[in-house]
Amino acid sequence: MYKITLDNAVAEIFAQREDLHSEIWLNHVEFERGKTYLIEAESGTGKSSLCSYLYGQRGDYRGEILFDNENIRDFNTTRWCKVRQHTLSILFQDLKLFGELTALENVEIKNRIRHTLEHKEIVGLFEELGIPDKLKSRIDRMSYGQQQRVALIRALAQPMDFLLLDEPISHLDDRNSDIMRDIILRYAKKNGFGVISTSIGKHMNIDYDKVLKL
Amino acid sequence: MRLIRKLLRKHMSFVQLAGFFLANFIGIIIILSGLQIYQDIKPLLVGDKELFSKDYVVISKPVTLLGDSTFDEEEVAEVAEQEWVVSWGKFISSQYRVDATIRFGGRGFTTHMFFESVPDNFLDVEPELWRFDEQERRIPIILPRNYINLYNFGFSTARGLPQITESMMKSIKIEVRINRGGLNNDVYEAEIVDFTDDINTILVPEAFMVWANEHYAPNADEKASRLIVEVANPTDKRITDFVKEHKYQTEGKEEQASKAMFLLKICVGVIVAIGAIFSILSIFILTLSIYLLVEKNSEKLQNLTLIGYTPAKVARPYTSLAIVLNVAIVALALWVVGYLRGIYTEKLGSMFEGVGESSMMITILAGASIALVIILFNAFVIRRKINGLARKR
Repeated sequence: MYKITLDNAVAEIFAQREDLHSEIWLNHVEFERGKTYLIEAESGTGKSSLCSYLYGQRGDYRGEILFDNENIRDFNTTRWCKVRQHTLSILFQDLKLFGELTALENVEIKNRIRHTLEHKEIVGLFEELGIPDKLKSRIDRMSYGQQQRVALIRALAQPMDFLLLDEPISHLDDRNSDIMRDIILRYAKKNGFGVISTSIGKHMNIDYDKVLKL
Repeated sequence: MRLIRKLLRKHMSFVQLAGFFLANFIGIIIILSGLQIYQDIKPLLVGDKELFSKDYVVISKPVTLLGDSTFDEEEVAEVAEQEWVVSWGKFISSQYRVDATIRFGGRGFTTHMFFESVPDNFLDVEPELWRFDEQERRIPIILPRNYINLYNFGFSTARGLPQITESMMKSIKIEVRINRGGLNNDVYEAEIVDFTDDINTILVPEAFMVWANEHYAPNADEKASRLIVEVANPTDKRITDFVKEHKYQTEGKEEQASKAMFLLKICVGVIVAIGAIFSILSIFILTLSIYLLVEKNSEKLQNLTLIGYTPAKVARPYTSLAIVLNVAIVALALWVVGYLRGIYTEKLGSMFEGVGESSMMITILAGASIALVIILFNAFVIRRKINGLARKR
């Protein structure tokens, strides 16, 4: 996939609002593979909704969202499974990790679908993110910031054209945020995927190709 | 798969699964043992082999001092048009003199004899054995089993002759002489191809009978001595009414065996129905229990589909669970049925011949089909539920 297009799209709950000053809702927006985007949002402007629409979790919007030239409204479950295996990866705001599994198992359960990362590479990422001692720890015994880093590694464990990051650094300090940025940009460069990141305040220190206000 | 199983094992209720296991286990044992008992007891009631392949009634007239006990065309036509008649045929008897000589152990004895025939389609004998060829001069015959019993238990003991078995009897060649008129006889070789409890006469192929009557008694009147009638249900009341009204007599397997058979079928039907109720209820328990399990794990299942797992893959641990449970249940139930069967065939086998000679094949197949149906049903329910979770809202 080379392009994600939002054409006059708007969350149903905002459809009747007249004071909508958004650069995304009800506009024509294109996200291109290989580029970096930041979506700045205030609370209640539908940031999580947007991610849910793009990731096929919800369909309560008007207008059109296209992957290349295909309307994603027509995708069935099987198609979404393929998208989530090959095309689009996400770091959920609420992470959606499995509490009873260890950090490593949480990455593996994703990685074994497409066998994208070598075990060595996974361990390397844990080290780089400063949590090598947490490999065998249960996720529900780790801090939210640590979990956020595990969720990033899991998000990288698949081939993709776009990486969606829903408030990726909300619980990270600047140092760790920079480490995360470096990893993301390194992988994006290597694999050529585009990055769409959202933020309600803190955001990664990147020279974004485009910053959009939601 | 290991990780998914680890993830989904939580919330699994051992008590619910054990409840299902037990209930379905009992249900399937009842169903399968009902089937097996039916197959084991059936030969007792119908004899080890049925000569007549269908349900039939033989109609005859009572013998009186005056009058004729054969059926004329009109009477035959009246029977033929009855609603309960599926098909019918005439008994034709030989219109010529027949003598038979049996030789064995250096002795021989000769007796006057007669033949009767019914249409071949009423008989369940190998066509290869049951044919007549004028050139071969060989006549296949079917004897009532009573005849051997008469010989073995009456005649042979009184005369100090050896007893003979059915297979010995079949290997004995019988010399049949048919009178051509005067003192001239034609000699044929008769061969016993089967014995029957179903009917009390000496049967030969209809082809032979028609040819022989034509050949040896061209002027004789070929009337039906008795009628054989195929019926859909031998216990039909209209048959008894008809017979009573016309003062006919009936014989046939509807008498004892059919009634016993009817009762056996009803008993087995009831047993299988009870087993089926057990099984169906237990399937509800399993389905409910899987439903609850999926419900409790719904968030995890949903997250799995969100990170790219297909519903089919997510459903697999549950489907495997259903497969393992059901296969184990049926396998164990078959083992139990086999064990019980060992006990009752031993007991019954000492009293009756022919018990336990049938195999467990049908029961095993039935068990396998039941397991398959339950597994498919479970798989369907699981997939539906998980597809529902994976669908976009």
